[in-house]
Amino acid sequence: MVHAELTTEESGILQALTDQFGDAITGHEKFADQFSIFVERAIIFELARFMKEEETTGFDLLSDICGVDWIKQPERRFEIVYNFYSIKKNLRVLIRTTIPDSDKPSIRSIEPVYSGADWMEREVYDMLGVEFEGHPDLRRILTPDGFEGWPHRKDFPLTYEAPRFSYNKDNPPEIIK
Amino acid sequence: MGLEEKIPDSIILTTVDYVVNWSRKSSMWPFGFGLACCAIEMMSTFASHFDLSRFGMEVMRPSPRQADLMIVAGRVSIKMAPVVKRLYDQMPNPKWVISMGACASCGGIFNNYAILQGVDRIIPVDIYVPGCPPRPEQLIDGIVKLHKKVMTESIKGRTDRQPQRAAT
Repeated sequence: MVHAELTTEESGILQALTDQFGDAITGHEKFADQFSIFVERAIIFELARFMKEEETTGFDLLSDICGVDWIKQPERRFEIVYNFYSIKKNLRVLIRTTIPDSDKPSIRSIEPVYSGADWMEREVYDMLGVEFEGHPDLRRILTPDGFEGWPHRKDFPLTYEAPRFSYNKDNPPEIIK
Repeated sequence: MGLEEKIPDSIILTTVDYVVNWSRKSSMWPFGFGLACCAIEMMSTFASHFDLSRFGMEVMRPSPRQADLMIVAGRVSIKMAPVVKRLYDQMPNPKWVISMGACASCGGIFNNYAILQGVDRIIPVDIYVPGCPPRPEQLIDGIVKLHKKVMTESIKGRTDRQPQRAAT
């Protein structure tokens, strides 16, 4: 963890989160003017609500949700990064949670709090296979229908798949490895 | 012209061939299928500096039913491939295809799960124009070559062309 100097607003945010959630905030990092806070995945829904509605935080814009596949750490394999931005304060914070590797890695969806999380979580589901519980319509968004596999996982082969048309949808061609 | 299939093989049609081919090449209306960055170069080829209407391509028809030449400009993703095939099937005969750029010809630099490795896996291509993106002069060179190819065609050909490569 790299520690550059935190600005007063960032220390304020970190203090507010630590006061509210205590041990679930496992650390923070500031590198190249980018401030990240590491949290446990169990509290992510309450944390999203806290970030949006409290006066001390006031992060009204969710810029992005992305996922990272740390294939060499099975107990912390999928890292989900939430990119919050506050328009009034011009402040950006990354909230990072990790999910262990399993057959069905999952995390609670924050779509009821930030409705922009809808398509962002669909993209993380499509690319990494992480399921979001409570999401209203979790299905693939970028890959074609009937695509098998999670492309952005590090063990997905860099390969070419044959296209599927209506005339061969009952007999799809096999994947070339 | 639907009487191509009905003409028996023993009739030589040289002057008719010549006139028909000349009229086909002189007013070939493109269906510019600009998908990605090659579309910009295609647009600049249609603009006034490198004018394409001096080659007879006066109007670029957005509807496949009214177009003769399909210029596939850009990356064809696997999600888009059935759409390209359907639009090609909707074009009436005679029709030609120019595959513009490296991505439409062979997948370009994208050899991955999402990009179709060459549009000739799904539709038959007449002219491949390499480049990333090809300059307007290169596209015009490809179109002139296509015109020469059209002039050598017989009136009886061109009905059931298949894609050059297998789809898998």
